[in-house]
Amino acid sequence: MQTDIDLFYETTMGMNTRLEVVMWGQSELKQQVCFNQICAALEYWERLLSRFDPTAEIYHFNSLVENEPMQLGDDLLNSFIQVIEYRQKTKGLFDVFYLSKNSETRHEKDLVDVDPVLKTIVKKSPDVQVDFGGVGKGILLARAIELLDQNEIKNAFISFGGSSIHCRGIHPKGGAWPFDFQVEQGIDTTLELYNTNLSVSGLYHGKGHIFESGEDIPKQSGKSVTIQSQNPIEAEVLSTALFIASEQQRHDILKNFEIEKVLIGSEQLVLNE
Amino acid sequence: MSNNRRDFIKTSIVAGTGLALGLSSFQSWGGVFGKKVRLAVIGTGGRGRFLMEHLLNQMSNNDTYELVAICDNYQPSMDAAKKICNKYKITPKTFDDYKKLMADAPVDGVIIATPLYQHAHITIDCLNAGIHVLCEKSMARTLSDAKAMYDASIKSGSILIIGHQRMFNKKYLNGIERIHAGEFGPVGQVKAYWHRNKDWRRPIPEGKPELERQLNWRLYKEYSAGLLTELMSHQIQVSNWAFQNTPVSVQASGGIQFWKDGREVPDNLAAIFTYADGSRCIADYMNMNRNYGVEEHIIADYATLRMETNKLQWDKPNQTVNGPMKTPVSKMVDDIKKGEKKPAAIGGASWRPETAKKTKEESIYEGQKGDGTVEELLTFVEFIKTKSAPDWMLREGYNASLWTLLTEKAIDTGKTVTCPKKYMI
Repeated sequence: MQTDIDLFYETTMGMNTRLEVVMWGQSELKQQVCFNQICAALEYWERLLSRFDPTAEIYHFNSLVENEPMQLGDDLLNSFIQVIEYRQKTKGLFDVFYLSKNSETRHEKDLVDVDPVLKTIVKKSPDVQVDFGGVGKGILLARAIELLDQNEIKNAFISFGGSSIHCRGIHPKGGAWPFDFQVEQGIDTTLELYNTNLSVSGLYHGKGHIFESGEDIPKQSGKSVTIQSQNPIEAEVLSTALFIASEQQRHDILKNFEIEKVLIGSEQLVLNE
Repeated sequence: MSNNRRDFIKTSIVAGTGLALGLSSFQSWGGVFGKKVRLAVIGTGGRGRFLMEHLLNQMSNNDTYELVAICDNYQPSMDAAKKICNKYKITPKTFDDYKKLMADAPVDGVIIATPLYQHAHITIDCLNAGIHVLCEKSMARTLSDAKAMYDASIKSGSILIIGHQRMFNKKYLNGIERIHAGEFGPVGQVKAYWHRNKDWRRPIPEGKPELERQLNWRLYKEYSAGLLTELMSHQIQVSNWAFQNTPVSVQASGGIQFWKDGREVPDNLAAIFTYADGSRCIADYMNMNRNYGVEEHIIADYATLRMETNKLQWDKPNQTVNGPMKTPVSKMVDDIKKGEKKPAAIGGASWRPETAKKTKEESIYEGQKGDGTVEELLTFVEFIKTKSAPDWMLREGYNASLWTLLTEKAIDTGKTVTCPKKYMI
């Protein structure tokens, strides 16, 4: 394999983390154009999904104090429909909706009504908030995959925050893209990936960040959850949901998805049991 | 505004360099003309003696100036000053009144290190008598006094500089020059603090309670604004210097929280200065915990400079002097370019606490010894010899004092305070 290939590497920031894109085997121009399109997509989705940007749609939704319908564009409408479906398929363990603290109705389940015809969403309580943090990177990766296809990029690797990965084609030196993962404190595992997506959730230096519904303290576990899937959004959803699921819940939930591989810590979960 | 400020910086750097390289020129001046710059120290308390000792210590390498008089109306301070003079084998004239000093001891320049409330009238009298003045910071106790001092210097043509020694410290000069050159991108914030863990009191001689206000003048509003004038004035000077501007407003809060011992000045306070471009200086001070100590963080787009501790930390990738910031993926790319195939060490949670970065630190500047006081004193001597000083040096001191006192007003009124036009220079 030549080392003077058209190796492209660029990085940018978005969704509070770093996006890194490696491509090779296509013209320099096409690779640059593709990266620019991915950056534009990142900006677009952040403008939709950010809870912190006052100009973002989700910021606006969270700010609403009246239970009035909010008009949605197609992308956000479809995203809401999708995450509601994922909540059902994960038995409620993955849920972008929550109630702000001090609410007496925090355990209410159906927190919003989405009307796909009128393209609206309405809160059932003014305390309803939404956080796409557990799935936003997957949504962006899905769009990036479309852009790689459109630009005929056959070999690429995208890391979004080091925990959401897409890889396709082969490594410039041939063979799969090899990665080391820390799956438990002090324990690494190596994966070799072709044409797939990966999402990792879990501990990082002992600090938890995934909250079980209704709880204020982040879920703690000594083991990460790694999901390998053709669908980067589902990889994100499941790495979060399975992190807080019991062993039985994991198996029940996985029946609703087509997943390539699940690692609990360094142990591979046997699928379709 | 910025042009003059840049000139000032250049001048300061030249002065600093001259001090390092040009001592022979001082010596030859003294040798050729047989005349030395005659200096006096007015106020030989702790700070005055500190300055005196630095002056005398440098005289072994520099015979272009001499200490001809010292003045203090508190005998223990005078006695302590005389001991220092004995150590250096000099016998300056001694006075308990600065007016007698002015009448009986011809001097070219004075160093004023009296309590703050005495700065103005002594300085103005000296300037009007053609005596050049290095006045300790902060400049004055009131806005009108500070303005009167400034005006007296302009009108008399006598040199007045305020003792903000960081302006003479090569570490600061280097860092500020690089900031102004745009090396670190625009500055967004200056975060300054000075935390101490002591009551700031001086012991009162037994049986002499009447000396309380004289010795502990820093604690009483009649004489001082406490932490504001004695500490913050230094840091707002650094902030103004970094921004090449003065604030447009200040908001502040402060009070006596811990040392409820009869003092009148806050022991715990915080201030926010807003500049015209939206950048800010956030400053806080306390007397009950010194864990944080003293620091000015100058936070720019590409780097943070910690001026007191001489540290520089780069922030953005692709802008570091040591090359781009490395991530597991960028390392993988480096491996590929070297023709190697190694696993990329990725994997981790999507979120982690946004604690302070631990990037490699480098020094802003190597080679500065001391805090700039020696350079300040020797530069003052040089200014006297040349009968000129950069305008901006006085303006820095004036504006630092101005915004220090406006901060006191913001605390006292609870309102956002701007600068009255009559005090703008």
